[in-house]
Amino acid sequence: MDTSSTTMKTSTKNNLTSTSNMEHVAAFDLISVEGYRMDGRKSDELRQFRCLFNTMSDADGSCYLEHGNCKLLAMIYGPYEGRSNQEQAVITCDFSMTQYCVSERRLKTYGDLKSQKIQMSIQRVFQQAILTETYPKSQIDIYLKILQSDGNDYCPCVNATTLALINAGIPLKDFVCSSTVGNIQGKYIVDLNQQEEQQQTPKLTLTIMPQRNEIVSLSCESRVHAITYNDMLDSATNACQQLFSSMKQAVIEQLKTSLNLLHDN
Amino acid sequence: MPRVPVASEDERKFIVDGIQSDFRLDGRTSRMYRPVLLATDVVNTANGSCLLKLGGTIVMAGVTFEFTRTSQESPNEGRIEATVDGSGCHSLRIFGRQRHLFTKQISRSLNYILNNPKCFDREQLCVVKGHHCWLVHVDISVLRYEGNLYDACSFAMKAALSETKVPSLQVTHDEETSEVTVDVCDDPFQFGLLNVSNLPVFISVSQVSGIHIVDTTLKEDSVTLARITYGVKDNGNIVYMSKDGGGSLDLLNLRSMSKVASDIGPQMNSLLLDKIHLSKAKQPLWGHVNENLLFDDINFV
Repeated sequence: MDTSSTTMKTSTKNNLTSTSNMEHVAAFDLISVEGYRMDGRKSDELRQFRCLFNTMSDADGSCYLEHGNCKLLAMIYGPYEGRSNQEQAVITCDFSMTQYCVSERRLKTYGDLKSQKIQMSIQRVFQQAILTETYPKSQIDIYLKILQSDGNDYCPCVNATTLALINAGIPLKDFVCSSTVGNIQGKYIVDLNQQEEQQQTPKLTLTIMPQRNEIVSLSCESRVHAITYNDMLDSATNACQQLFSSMKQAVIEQLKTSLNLLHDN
Repeated sequence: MPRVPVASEDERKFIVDGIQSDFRLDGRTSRMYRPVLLATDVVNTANGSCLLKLGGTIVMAGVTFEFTRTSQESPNEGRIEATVDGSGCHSLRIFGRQRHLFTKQISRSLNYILNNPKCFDREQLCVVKGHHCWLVHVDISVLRYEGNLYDACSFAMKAALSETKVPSLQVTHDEETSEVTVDVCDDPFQFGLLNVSNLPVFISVSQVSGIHIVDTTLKEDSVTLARITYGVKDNGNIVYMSKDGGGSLDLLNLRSMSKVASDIGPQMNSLLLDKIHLSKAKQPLWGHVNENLLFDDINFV
């Protein structure tokens, strides 16, 4: 009895120390031999992207976005006369979640470190994207509410805010699209979901303006080789372009339906 | 009560005149509710969830389960608590501490009816008597506010609890060591349901120039003098009552307001029950099929 338990202990210790083996096993599960990921996607395939405009009637522009399992609401209030006396519009962002948006219940829905970080970055991104000088001495409020989270919250927030701003009729330099790319088992997989995000693999988040080919923000919080980095950037750009085409299609479709409504009346 | 947009003197008169002639701003009579639209099982991460629209007020409720020890005072009862969260809701028009106080007031009322043994049987949340029980969180988030948050929250809570899937457990009791081990079943299709047939719904009755109306909108709130929120069971019995607003009421008014609430309570209860059944029938037999978007009109019943 005693000997068996000690052998068990040593074997587990061995497993823990040989991390390379563990990593291989963990990564092997994510991409099958045929090249499919856990949820049946190819490595360069995005999650299902669907959106609905005008969900909240009191907002100036609103958008409900479903990106894979991520469900969120974006609402735009403004531009309205703000307190600031600046020559350009001030943009504020308010990010909150529901307690049940993740499988482990969240105690705080608003104002914690993670949501403050997202607020700051969204604010910074859209300060660049919106033609702020068209609205002097005014303010634009962005309200974001995550109803169900699927790993990364930042990317769907950026995409939903773009769509809501377009819905509100606020002039933008260009669409703003954001996507992630990871490097697992020598393959570059785009648009990571929660399972893939939890792996200890290199991850890169890219936000671009697809028509102007400009990078708005780029973050990579892991060690990546220079050669892999370039490839990751390329596949992230491709993912953003794919995302852009689906966002553009959604906007055009919305425009068509609203124009048809006008014609009928 | 949240600060209401100040209606002008003429607008107030228009609203009051409409109420006096039994024809309110949106064409309702004084005893009518705005349309209730309901979609259940909307969020995969919660055990039970519900999106509810009461006119322009939109709330979302999610139920999550947590495993805890039973308390000393009530060894055969589980625990349940409701929270109302108004963060990220611009249309509430109150911010910071005031908003917290307002939502706290509603969650306190909801907790009151949940912890009343005549309304909700907490013994069904007990797993092992004296050892383990469920701690149920009912989290309600306000997505849009256009009056009458009390009633919307209680409807959403009842709808979400009635379709909550309680995770099934395997309890094994070791006779020798008298140790109790509890394992969660792996099969996702094995689940229990909660009994919420006795759970009351809130009916808010407001007094506007001597006339009692239910389900006031944001604009009607600006002429409301006093409001009483009743918790009414499906047989018309009143189990909870709380007054809100600055105005005073005499005893005669109080009686007729209670009469209104106990008349409308059973109607709203049965309406809600029908909606829950319809929404359950709409769901697929297995799994989550995300054919429609959450806020699509097709989703609601």
